[in-house]
Amino acid sequence: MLQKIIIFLTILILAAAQVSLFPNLMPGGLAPDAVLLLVIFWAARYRFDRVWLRVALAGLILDVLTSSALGLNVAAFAIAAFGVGSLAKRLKAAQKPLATLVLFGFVVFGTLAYGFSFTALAVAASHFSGVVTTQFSGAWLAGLFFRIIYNLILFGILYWPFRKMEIFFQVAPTKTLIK
Amino acid sequence: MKLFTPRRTKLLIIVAIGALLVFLNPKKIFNPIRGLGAVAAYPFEKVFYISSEKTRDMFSFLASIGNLKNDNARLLEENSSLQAKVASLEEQKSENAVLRQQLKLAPSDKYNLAAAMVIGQDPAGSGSWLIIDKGATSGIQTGMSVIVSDGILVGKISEVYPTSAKITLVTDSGSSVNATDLKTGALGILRGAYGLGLVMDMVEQSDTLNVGDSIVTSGLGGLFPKGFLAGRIQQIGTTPDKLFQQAVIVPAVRYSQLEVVFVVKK
Repeated sequence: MLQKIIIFLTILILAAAQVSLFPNLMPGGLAPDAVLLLVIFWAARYRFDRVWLRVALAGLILDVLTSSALGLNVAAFAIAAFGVGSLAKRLKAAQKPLATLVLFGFVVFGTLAYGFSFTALAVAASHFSGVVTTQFSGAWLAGLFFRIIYNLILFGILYWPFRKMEIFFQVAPTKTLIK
Repeated sequence: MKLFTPRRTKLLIIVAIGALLVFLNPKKIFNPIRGLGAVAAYPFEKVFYISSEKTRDMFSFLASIGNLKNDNARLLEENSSLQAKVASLEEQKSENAVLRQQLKLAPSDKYNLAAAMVIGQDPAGSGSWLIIDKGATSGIQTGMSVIVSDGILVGKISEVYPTSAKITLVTDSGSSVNATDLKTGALGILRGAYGLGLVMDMVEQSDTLNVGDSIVTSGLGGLFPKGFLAGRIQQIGTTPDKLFQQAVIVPAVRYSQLEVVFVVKK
């Protein structure tokens, strides 16, 4: 139970930081995807079928806090996590000496997968609701590029606390490490 | 190869549930969940926003230390010239009140304003929404206009929670405001351009628009009170079908830098 509370609080705090802390510190009001980084961290280390509920919870909390259509981040996070997980399964074992570099590669891949799937779903949803809130454009692409840069920097900062938190609170999913 | 492995099945389930939620969303049936989330996140959001403001101020201060000596000399010089200007401005103040009345701009003391602190904003940087620290318990209601000092339009309250509320900015792509050119009286509709700024649309070809003119709310439709400043015209063009004029508007304020806003309660 305590583990579940810790996971919930971690996601909530990261989502609140994404909405209230980072936009104020970053130029142009564009914020790094703190919650996505946690999802990538889980997806890169554990099998998708062990972390899928956490991924869904992270998406749900972010949807609530960012006022996105409920379900958008749930689906986009799931696609990104599945992609990163599949990639991790193939790459990680073969690339042990370059593990850190590979992890940062996952951040780039995860951000791209999330960015494209989120926007595609948002565009589809906007056709349904009649209110166009986002679209693929040059500005969107530029935004995605900067988010990759910000995410790489933030992942470099958060990776160690994520690892420590996992050990300290023992919140790792059981028998799931990708070999 | 097995098509439906446990991993793929779970991905399909989660994406299907996500998509289903998205399509059920316009009916606003999940608003109670949003309310709960807003209440749970409120203390974190407030602490984060205040600390980020302080951090930003500290960095700006550190960056400005090197220029303090030069600034001091310049400010002393400016101070003496400003004192002279104050005298003439006092005279202009009373003249301004008369002009304001003549131009039918919103007088700042006409409305019951509730000050609110910004505690969150769109992390995608698309200039779509803000979150403030006042909600239903402070008398905030959906549809209320939001301004900053001197009657500069910010947006409209779109969602209200017990202790917080969401403002949909005028730059949001779904936003539309009836507006008018303050100088020429040309009427049009102000729309958000995907967070990139504002566009004044549907201006008749016979109307006059000039670069630099101020654009204010016209009060038509009753969504926004009359006379709130939205921005200035930067560029004028026509719609692709050549039926109407279209103007690119530079917002009068940077929405991502707002700290305090005023909700127009009445």
